[in-house]
This record gives sequence, structure tokens and C-alpha cells, in this order.
Amino acid sequence: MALLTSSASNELTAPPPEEWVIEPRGRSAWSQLREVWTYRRLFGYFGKRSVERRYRNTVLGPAWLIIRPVFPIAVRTLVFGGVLGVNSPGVPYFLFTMVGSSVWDLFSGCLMWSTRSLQLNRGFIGRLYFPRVIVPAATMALAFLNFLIMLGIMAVALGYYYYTDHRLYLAPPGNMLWALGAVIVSATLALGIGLWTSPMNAQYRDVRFTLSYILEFWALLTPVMYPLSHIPAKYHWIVFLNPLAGVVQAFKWGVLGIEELNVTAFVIDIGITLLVLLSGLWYFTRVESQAVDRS
Amino acid sequence: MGDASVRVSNLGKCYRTSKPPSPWQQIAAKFRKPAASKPANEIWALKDVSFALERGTILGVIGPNGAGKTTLLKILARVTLPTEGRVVGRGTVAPLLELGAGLQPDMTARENIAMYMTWNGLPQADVERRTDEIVSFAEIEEFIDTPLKRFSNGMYVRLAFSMAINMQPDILLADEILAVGDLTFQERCLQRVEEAGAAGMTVFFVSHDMAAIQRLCTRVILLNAGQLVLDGDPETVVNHYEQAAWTMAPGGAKRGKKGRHANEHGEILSVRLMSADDREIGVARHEEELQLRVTFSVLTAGITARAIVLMNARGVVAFRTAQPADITVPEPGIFAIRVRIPARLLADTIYTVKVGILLVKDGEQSTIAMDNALVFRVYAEHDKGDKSLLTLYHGSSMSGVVMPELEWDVARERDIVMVPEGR
Repeated sequence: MALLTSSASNELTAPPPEEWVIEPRGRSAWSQLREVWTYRRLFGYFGKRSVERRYRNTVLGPAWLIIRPVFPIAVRTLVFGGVLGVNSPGVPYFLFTMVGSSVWDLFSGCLMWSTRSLQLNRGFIGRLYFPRVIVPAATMALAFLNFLIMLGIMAVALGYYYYTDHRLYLAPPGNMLWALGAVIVSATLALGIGLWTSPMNAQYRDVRFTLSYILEFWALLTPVMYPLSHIPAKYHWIVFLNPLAGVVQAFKWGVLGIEELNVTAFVIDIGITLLVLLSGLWYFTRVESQAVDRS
Repeated sequence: MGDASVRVSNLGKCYRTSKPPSPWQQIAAKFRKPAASKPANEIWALKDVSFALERGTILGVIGPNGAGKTTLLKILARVTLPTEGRVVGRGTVAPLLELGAGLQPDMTARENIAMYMTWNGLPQADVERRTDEIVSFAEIEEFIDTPLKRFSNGMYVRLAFSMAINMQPDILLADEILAVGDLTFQERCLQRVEEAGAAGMTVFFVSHDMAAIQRLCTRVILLNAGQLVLDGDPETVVNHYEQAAWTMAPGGAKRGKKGRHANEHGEILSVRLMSADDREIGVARHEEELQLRVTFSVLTAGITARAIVLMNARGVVAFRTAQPADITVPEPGIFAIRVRIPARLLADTIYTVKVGILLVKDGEQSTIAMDNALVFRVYAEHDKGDKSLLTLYHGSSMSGVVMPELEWDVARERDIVMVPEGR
């Protein structure tokens, strides 16, 4: 509501300033979205705040940013690539699972953080007005930071393998657009789901715990740690029922140029993402006010 | 001026006191007969409130604690949505609800001003000019690049007020802005609000300070237990408020469970915080004398009564005080107790007052008690030296549950003779 018209509006001669209405229903999703632009600087604020809060009071501080993503991938490489001998098509297993994990972790990180976002920023929400939808979106900054660091590690790994194997495993530049598309779709889908789960989580913390189990299981259904070729071709359509499968495949294709790209699945994923996002916006704007009153 | 600046119609806000039913209970309720569902534990913090304001109105909002004053402002500030009714307004709104809401202690004053403009959706273009205006009104020019955590209470408050008023909103929501800050700054706040009103700013001014309300406001509404009781010119409404016996009306917010404060022999009617000159106040100052005013009725003849007051702060009983002697009540009646709390005793924290009255009838004892009779905050005007001393020593500026002024004596005990080295 604090949309500023002009400071001259206090003078009696000025034209009447913009009218607003407060009603129990709250504002429509559309008018909230238009307002987001006015408050756009809050994205930076909430994003920065979520990162700072995460690593405050840690001894290792920023080092955690690198340890957290690398450690599980090192373990996975040891177990799947080493002990179980999962083959990775044409690239070292470490690189293979690193690329798959980076986009998967982006999705799951975005989803987890946006789910918790309203609860984490309850203090602001109870005291100040701003379009609430900024909070779940901006809190995803943590997952994006993690993703960028994984890209950095990936670059180092590519350099290392270039030195040892004398091969650059990077896909041709034309593929990169698919990788970018995969990043956008995975984050948007996470936001769409987060718009559903974050108001629920503000009331019932069970949502977050349930979600973390679902994500663990979901990761196994997605070709992150294994290539799609491990599954008989006639069952591939079942794999692609999972929208993340198309996204992860597109990302691997985009970065490493490996496995096949399933364009149909990716297009369907975009459709699903838009559907989830729009319904999420509708739900979020409908319930956010009560969710915070009651939490 | 024709168009209203703010029009409030049938506004209501309902809070649930108990936990909302869990999803399982909600599902279970669907299978039960509708009659079996009991009504939820609801409290209407605001109910059926309607009024319209012209531009430039300085509206005083008065009423006892829990009347719905802050809820009204919170709805106008959009921090919470109403349960029913609607508000139509024109122009920008600057809320000054909790002083310093959204201010970041780790950031400097300059950064906080930029941040505040973000919070209020203001463009960054004129941040420089605004910053200059804000700091000069708050008189903190030399601290503009100091983090807020090093600010004294007074500076903090001045900055918060200055930010809100210098945004030149069309509508200013001011909740208890006079509760803190020194007297000269309060005076300047009042003047500034007066000027803003004259220039066409609509102001909602919530205060327990009736003198300020009468001086400043062009119109006053009186709320009690969520209802609009009276709406009119300042003198009429303030007089009505000051003369009425403010009993704790049933159904309002912040009430203990009904029943314990009354029995067949008597009832605690009200517990109020008053200044030394008998004005009802909502916040107190460490430097000022206070009174607690307890009114109670005795319904049975031949009773002896004795009251006790417990002051709780930070989860402990800060102190208790009991009526030194019983009073004997030959005839039923309404009684008022005044407990004088001397200046410079209470610490700068939040107190919850519990009141209990022991009633004895023919040797049989019963008690009536009000557990959360009153919650109020005490502010202290630390001079900066004191505050930083405490912070240095204790790491926190607000500690303890009492802060009495005691007698201190410092004397020179003995001289030290410095013996020159290398003798």
C-alpha cells in the first residue's frame, strides 16, 4: 500500500492519491505480483539474510559452503562409482554424479528453503507489510549459492580431468541452452511447490519433515546417481512421469553432452511447472495471512 | 474536501485463542454430527467498527488496554488482514507501530534509512535528500554511519519517528510514540504531527496521554473491548473516557479465564495503571511515580478483605506487596485501592501485574484473583554513560527486575603515596 505516488500529495491542491482497499480476502494474486516490482530490493535483502543466518556462529564459516556439497558427492562416488561399479556413459563417475546432483540439489534446496521461509521470517511478517510472496522466492538464494559453488567445483574437476585424461568433457556450447533451461525449470517448479508448502509449514512443522523424506526417495527415482541407460528402454516412460527426470537429463545433456535429451519430457515439464506455479500463487495469496496469524 | 481519506466499514478482527484444530481433528469433525462441534475459542479484538476521516484529520484513538487500538492500526498497516468489513483509503501509509520494527541493529543509520525506504516500497532515487532530512530532525547527524546497536534508546526512537514522518505519507499510523524519548523530542514530535495534519496528512494517534490527545487531535474515537464506544470531538470523548468506570468488560482480549476474579462475595472489577496525577497510562517511565488502581466490589455484608499485588517480570516475581491491614466491610459496596509505586524503582522491562484479594466471611476464607490483570512496559531514559557502563559490564542493557535508586556513598579512604622508582 505504501506505493508512493509523490511527496507533493500532501498539499491540498494535489490530485487525490491512489485509492486502496483492505478486505478480509486480501489482495488478488495479480495485484500482489504487480507490487513485487515496487518492493524488488527486498529480494536482495531476504536472500542475503538467509545466507548470513545460515553460516553465522560457525567456526568454518564459508568453508561449509564447499564442504557441504562435496562430501556427499565424494561418498556417492566411492559407493556407486567405486564399490557398486555403476557405469557412467563416457565420463568419470565423479563428474557424472556431480552434474546430476548439482541440478537435483538446486531443486531440493530451493524447495526445502522456500518451505521453511515463512517460518524463518515470521518476525518480519508479523510486524511489517510487504508482498509476502517475496519471502519464499528470495530464500531460495541459499540453494542458488550452493549451486554456483557446485558449478565452480565442477569447473575444477573438468580442469583436472583435462590434465589427467587429456579430454575436455564439456558439451559443445550449443547444448548449454538446455542446461540453462533445466536450471530455470527446476527452480521454478520448486518455487511453485514451495508456495503450497510454506504456508502449510508455518502452521504445521510436520510438512518440512515429511518433505525431507519425500525428497530423499524422489532423488532415487531421478537419474542422478545412475544413468538412464540402466533402466530398460520400455520403462523409460515411467521414469519420465517424474518431472525432475526430464530436467536432470536435459542438464546432463547441456553440460556434459551425455545420454539422450528427451525433448517431449522437457516440454511437458515446462507445462507442469507453469501449472504448479500458477496454482501455488493462487493458493499462497489466499492463505498467507491466516497462516501467519496462527503460527 | 469531499473524498474521505480513510473509510472504515464494519471492520472486525477475530483471533483464536486456542490452537487451531489439527488436520486430523478437522477430518474427524467432518464425520461427526454438526451439532457436536463446539464453537471455537474466539476473541473479537475488533468488531463492527465504522468511521470515515477527511484528509488532515488527526484522529486520537483511546481506550483501555486490550481495547483493539493496536489491532486497528495493524489492519490499516496491512500487517494483518481483517476478518470482516473493509477499509478504503487514499494514498501512502507510513506505520509507526512498534518503534524500530524492521530496523537492523547491525546496520548503520544510513543503511537503515535506505532499508526502510525499501520496506515501504519507496524509490531509491531521493534517498540522499530524505536521509538528510531524517537525520537532522532526529539530531543524529554525527552518528549517521554508526551501527544502530551502539545507539542509545533515545536516539533509536528519534530515528524511528523521524523516518516515518519524513516519508511524507498521506496517512501516518502512530502507536504510543510519546511513550519514549525525552520531553523536548516529544514536544517536537507533537509539533511535527500538528504541522503534518495542517498540511493534509491524516494521522492515527494512539496514546494513553490524554493531555496530548486533547491538544493535538481534531477528533477522537474511544474503543473498548473491540467496539467503537464514542466518536466525537476530543473534549467530549476524553471526558467520557476519564469519568467512566473502566471495568474489564467480558469478552475482550487479554483476559484471564473468567470466573476466578469473582465469587459470590465479591469481584475484581478493574486493574489500571495510572500516573501520579491520575491519568490512565499504558506505559510507564522509570523516572516517574505510578499508581496501580484496583477496583473491586463486595457483595456480602460483614466481610473482611485484604489485597495482594504481585509484579512479575522476566518470568519471575519481581516483588510483591500486600495491603498492611484488613478492611472490614459492613455493607456491600465498590472499593478502590491505590498502590503507590515510587519513582525509580521499576526496571526498564515489561511487567505483568497479578492481583489477589482474600475475602473472609465468618472465618471462612476465599480468594478472588486476576492473573494477567495488566501488562505494561517501563522505559528508562538512560543517560548514555550509564547504559554503556552496564553494557560493558553485563553485555546487556536491560537486566534485572527492579532498578531501585539507592544511596551511594563514595569517600576517599586513604592516600597513596607514589614512591619514585630507582631510589
